Amino acid sequence: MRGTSKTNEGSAAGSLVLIEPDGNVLDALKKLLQGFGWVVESSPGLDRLRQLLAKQEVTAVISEASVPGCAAAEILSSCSTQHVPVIFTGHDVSPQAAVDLMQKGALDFLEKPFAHKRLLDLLNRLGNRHNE
Amino acid sequence: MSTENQVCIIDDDEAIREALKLLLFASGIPCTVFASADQFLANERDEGFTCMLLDIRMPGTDGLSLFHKLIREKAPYPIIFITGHGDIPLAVDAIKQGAFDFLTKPFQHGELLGKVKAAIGVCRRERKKLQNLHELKHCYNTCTPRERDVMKLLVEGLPNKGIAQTLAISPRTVEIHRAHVMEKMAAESLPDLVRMAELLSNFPDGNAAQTEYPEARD
Amino acid sequence: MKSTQPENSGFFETLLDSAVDAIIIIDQEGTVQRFNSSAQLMFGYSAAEVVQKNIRMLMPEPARSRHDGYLARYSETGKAAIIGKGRDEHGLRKSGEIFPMRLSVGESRQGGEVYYVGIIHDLSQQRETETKLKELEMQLVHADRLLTLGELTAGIAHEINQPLTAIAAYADAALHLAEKASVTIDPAVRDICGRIGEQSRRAAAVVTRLRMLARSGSSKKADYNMIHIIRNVLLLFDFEMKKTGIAIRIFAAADLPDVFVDEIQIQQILVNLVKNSMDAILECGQKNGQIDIRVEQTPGELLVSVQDNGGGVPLHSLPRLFEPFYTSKPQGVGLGLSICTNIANAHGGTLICVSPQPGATCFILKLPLSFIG
Repeated sequence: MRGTSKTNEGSAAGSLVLIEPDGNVLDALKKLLQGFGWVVESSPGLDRLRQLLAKQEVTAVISEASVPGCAAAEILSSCSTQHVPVIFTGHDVSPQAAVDLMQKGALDFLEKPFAHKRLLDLLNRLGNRHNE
Repeated sequence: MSTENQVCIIDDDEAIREALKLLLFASGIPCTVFASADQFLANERDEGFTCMLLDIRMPGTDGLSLFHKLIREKAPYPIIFITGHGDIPLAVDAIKQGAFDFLTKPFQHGELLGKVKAAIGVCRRERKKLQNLHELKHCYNTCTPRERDVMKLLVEGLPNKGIAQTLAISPRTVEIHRAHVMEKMAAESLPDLVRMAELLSNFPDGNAAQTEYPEARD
Repeated sequence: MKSTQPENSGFFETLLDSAVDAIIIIDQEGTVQRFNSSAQLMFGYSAAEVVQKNIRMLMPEPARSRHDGYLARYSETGKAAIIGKGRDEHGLRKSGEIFPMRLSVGESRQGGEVYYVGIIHDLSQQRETETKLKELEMQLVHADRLLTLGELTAGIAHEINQPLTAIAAYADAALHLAEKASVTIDPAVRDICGRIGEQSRRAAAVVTRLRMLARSGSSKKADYNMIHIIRNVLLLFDFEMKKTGIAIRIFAAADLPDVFVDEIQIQQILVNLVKNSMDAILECGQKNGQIDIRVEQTPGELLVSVQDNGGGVPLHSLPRLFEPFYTSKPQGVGLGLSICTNIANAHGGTLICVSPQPGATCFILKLPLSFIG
């Protein structure tokens, strides 16, 4: 089992990397996902993301689509080479940009604010696939 | 008029429809235009299109409903949405459900042309694959049961002698069957035949019409 | 009059008829003595139809009924309503059309007889232009309001959706954490937590709808000549150009192709750019204010540049210029340029700012010539 979990969650559902420039949103999502048993790391940028991807097995990356100084396409390509699925979130992008990310292989694009059930269901499917 | 190799444009805005038609025509791409989804549906269904440009907001049956219907019916051409009022969930869902692309107005000619050409390319490749498969199926069906047995063992890599032993026939007979198989399948070499056998086993029911575009996901 | 200076009569008639304005001469009773060619054109009567008739026939009511009284009172009391000065009045053409005119009246005494000389300038053209200009201004103000609303809501949507996302996530997390800690949760609390998420998404949907509404502000695109659009915009600055002494020049290549645009929206961009340039020139105290507007064609694009010598933009603020709510003006909201950028984008184009030389600023609007939507 993956997840060198230091949390008191017992068996972790898997590990996630969150990229979210807004501190409050980051904190809220982190608490939510941790509550559901996910080990959550946050990454402020590409370098840290690549480090995390190289260091540990990551079930999925959840990333805001418009992060200043960090192109969504690059986040996607970094994850794709490691076969890690990416779920984008956001509202400040054009439909065209969202479509572009989907075509480049993003798993989904959730417009903020999104129904958490959708995110959790998506992650659960990934987690199950992983545990098989 | 045959719509073979034509691009199908469905948009209720006449100016846009004509502009698209002119633009594609100027690039040597013939088009058929419809002013509404209902008009399209009222015509005899034609599967010869290589690509469809579909507006979302239209009076009567809207673009999304038509899209869902065509996807259910496994329409054998890529569908590109063009819309003036695209929002993110709509666009993302369309792609997830199998739309080839999603363009929001306004767009530049080059952008549109690039996407249409890419869609036509994908459509042609898929059709060619499908056609080859059909031909292959046809050839295979002309082989006798015994010839098929020989073919199966051949592609497994057995020499003539081994085949003769397995099928309890003479090596001379194997020789004759083998020649027939190569001729009927129009195979130039043994590796060629191996490739064909592989294709046939990948599509046992010969139904490759569920074209999977690389972009489509569930 | 004819009788007093017969030898000059031919020269005098020629002079009268060469005047651009209408000239009408009447006697003390209001009887028309002279009716020059411009007057004939303006009112639609030949001289024969008017001369020796009362001037009243050229006036609409109520001036028509009052005119005799004016003349009588002036002769008696010397109290002038118009005579000796000018004012805006209305004239009546033969066709029955009433038109605005500027009338100035002088008095002339010739051998004991008093004559009044009226010089009339037709204002209908000018008024029409003014009305058109006012309409244009109103259209621009309306479009500006719509776009400002769109821009504001876009900004608000961004600022508000983030906290809404956090609120919904916190509510869900709290509920789940309580559940996991095996706390018995009052069903009402569970319901409330669910509603927090629901309501935050509802709030977001409202903002999104508002933004869509503002964005859908009718855009009517057609083929337009860019020079024509620019000339119309400069009409709006006529007064300011005269007042400030700032010179605006247009440089354009011949045979420019039409552009497929929303005329009002492109005018908005240009009004913004010219206004910005004027403000910059005035603020930096430039005495020889100069704004150059250039229109050029490149393969596939039409470039419109607006360059001023208003001190230039500090390099460090160049990247921030187009951000919403960024402004260097104390009374500005900082939406002008970001709205302009959005308009340019909606036309498949771009708006950029460059510093061509120290002390100068140049905004370049690039519009694609091949474009659908």
